[in-house]
Parts: sequence; C-alpha cells; structure tokens
Amino acid sequence: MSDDERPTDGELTQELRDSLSELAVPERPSLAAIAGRGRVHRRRRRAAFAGLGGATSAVVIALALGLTGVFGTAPGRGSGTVQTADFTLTSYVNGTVALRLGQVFDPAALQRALAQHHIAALVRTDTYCSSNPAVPAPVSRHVLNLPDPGGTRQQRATPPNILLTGNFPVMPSQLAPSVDPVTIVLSPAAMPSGTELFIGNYDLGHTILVSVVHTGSHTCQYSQEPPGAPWDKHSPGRR
Amino acid sequence: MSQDDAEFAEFFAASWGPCLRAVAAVTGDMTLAEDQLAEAFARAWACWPKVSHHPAPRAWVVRTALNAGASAWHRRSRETALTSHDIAAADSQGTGLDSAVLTALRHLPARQREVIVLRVFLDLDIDTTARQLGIAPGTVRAHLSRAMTALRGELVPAMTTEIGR
Repeated sequence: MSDDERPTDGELTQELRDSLSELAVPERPSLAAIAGRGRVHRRRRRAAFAGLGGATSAVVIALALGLTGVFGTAPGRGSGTVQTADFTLTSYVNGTVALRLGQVFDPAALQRALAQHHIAALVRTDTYCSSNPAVPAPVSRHVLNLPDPGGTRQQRATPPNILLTGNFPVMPSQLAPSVDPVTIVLSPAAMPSGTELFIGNYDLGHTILVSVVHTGSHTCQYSQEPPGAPWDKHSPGRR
Repeated sequence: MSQDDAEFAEFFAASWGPCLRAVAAVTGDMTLAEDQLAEAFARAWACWPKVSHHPAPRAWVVRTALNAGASAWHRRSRETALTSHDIAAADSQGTGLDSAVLTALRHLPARQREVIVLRVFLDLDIDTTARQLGIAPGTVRAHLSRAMTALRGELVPAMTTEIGR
C-alpha cells in the first residue's frame, strides 16, 4: 500500500471520533446514587482527618508557633517570589520558602522554580521516587499540620491549608482532597546534604506527597497512588 | 438544591455520555467503564468545589475513572508492572467497542492512549493535555504522532483485509 493510500492524521482523528460517537451507552445512573457514593468518600476522608487530629495534637500546637515565625516574617530579598497560575513560591528572610500549590501544576516548571530558590527537587506526576536506604525521618525534627475540615478554634486561628515542615526529611504527607490550594513551608537549610526534595502529584486520590530522597541513589516508578497514607504506620502520633 | 449541587447535576447530565464513551473505548468493557465512571463521578461530587475549578473537569473525571480501573487491576496483579489499562473486552461485541479503530487504540501503550483520549476524544488542546498528564507539550505531540503512526500501522492491514473480502 502506498503512502497516498494511508489515512492521514486528520482522517484517523475523525475515524476515532466517529467510532466513539457510534458507541451506544447505557443510561446514566441517578444523581442520588452518585451522591450517595460520594458521601461515602467524604465520610472516609473526614474520619481519617478526625483520627489525625487526635494523634497529632502536639504537632498542631507546634504548628501554631511555627506559623508565627514564618508568616510574621517579610519575604526575603534573595529569590523573591515566583508566581504562576498553578503555584507560588515565596522566600522568607528566615530561610524558609513557602510553596502554594493548586491542584494542577506543571512539574517541570515547579522543579525549575524550586531550583531558583536553591531547593534541589524532583517533581513528578503519578510517579513515586524513594531511596533505599530511606532518608531518616526523625519525628521530633519535623512539624506537620493537616487541616481539619471541621476545625477547632485553635486551628481556625491559624492560616488555612498549611503543611509546615520545619525540618527535613518530612514524611509522606497526604493532603485533604478538599484542600486547594495547599501551602508547604520548606526549610532548605535543614535538608541533609546529598538529598533532594521529592514532590509527587497523584490524580488518583488527589494527593500530593512530599518526601526527601538521596540525590544520587533513588529510584522512581510509575505509581498512580502514593504508597500509604500518613494515618497508617507513618503517622507521627502513632510511633 | 444548593448552587454547587445544581452545577454538579448539570455537569453530570452533560458529561456522563461523552466520558463513558471515552472510558469504554480505552477499557473495551462497557460494564466496567460504567462502574469506573460512576466511581469517578462520585469522587467528583465529593470534592466538587475543587473539581469545578479544574481547567478540564471532564478530563479529571475520565482520568480518575481510568486510574481507578488501573488501580483495581493493579491490586489484582501485584506481581505485574502496571503498564496499561488493558481489561478483557468481554462484552465488546455488539456495542461498537469491537470496531477496528477502537481495537487498535487499545493496543497502544497506556500513555499514548491517554493522549488520544484527552486530545482527540475530549478535544483538549495540546497545552491542556500536557498539563493534565504532567508532561511537556512537545512530549504530547510526540506521543500523539507515535500513536497515529501505530494506529495507521494497525488499521491499514485491517482495511486491506476488509477490501479484499
């Protein structure tokens, strides 16, 4: 068959679309059925966060103190602020960097922006990167806040949607699907030498995972879900 | 009914058919696609304030549905690397899912299929497709080009056979 007889991209595209439009689809389920299933998701999520609230109360207190230090500080003159439609990176004079992330972001652009702020990072979508042996993550050296959808008075008094990581490495952190955007406060100086930040964005579960890996000896694999939720074995309050 | 509920109801009514066709075309199984999509819409309902601000909510739903399917498949096959959303096309006959072009589509690597779904089926532009998949626009073009080449390769013999019959 000559090249002239081969379908063009346009013809193929049309053929694909035609084939799709010819598919007979069953009637959609009732909205009530979808909402009922959706309520199960909401309940699970709230239950998970309720469990976290009890387990991490000490962390929440530390968080409130930490936030004063971070957000009461003017942005530094170094790298300044990088703002895109998807994320904002702001350097503070105390050396921390606040990263505000929307649900969808360009991993490559974020990785470049972090590099501008002198943060070595791997940013990937649907990919999990880890080191073996893992970078040690002493619980006492990091602070973690997961926003409570219900919120206590104390939590509501703090800026919303903050995950504060005063030290590295941080443990994998699953953020609430309802939290958008989220803000992560990074302390680059606290990163152990020879390591870099890993940020994984997973559409399934609408999760952002933050961890630290060894720069020269990590492996990455395709993964549509982060490996394990923080309220499982990684939860600081349960160690 | 709140404004959010009304918006979701409208989105659900308008998007169910197109999204189901896209998911079924990739999985090759209408019943399975229906279940995966219902799950995806339920998740969308659960975080609708967020999904409604997504640049391409239908793409979010379709990807969530496909990911849910792949995840279930992955759970069933822990020992096998997750490389595709291939599901047995048990009920494809008679539904239109067994057309040559859709069968050829299911032979593509997972990433190429995702690009076809977003770019061709959901009519997203290259940049939006790239953002959805977390890859560069140039990579989307490359996947699209490879997918088209592969589809041509699969379809030409089929077309020749049909003509020769």
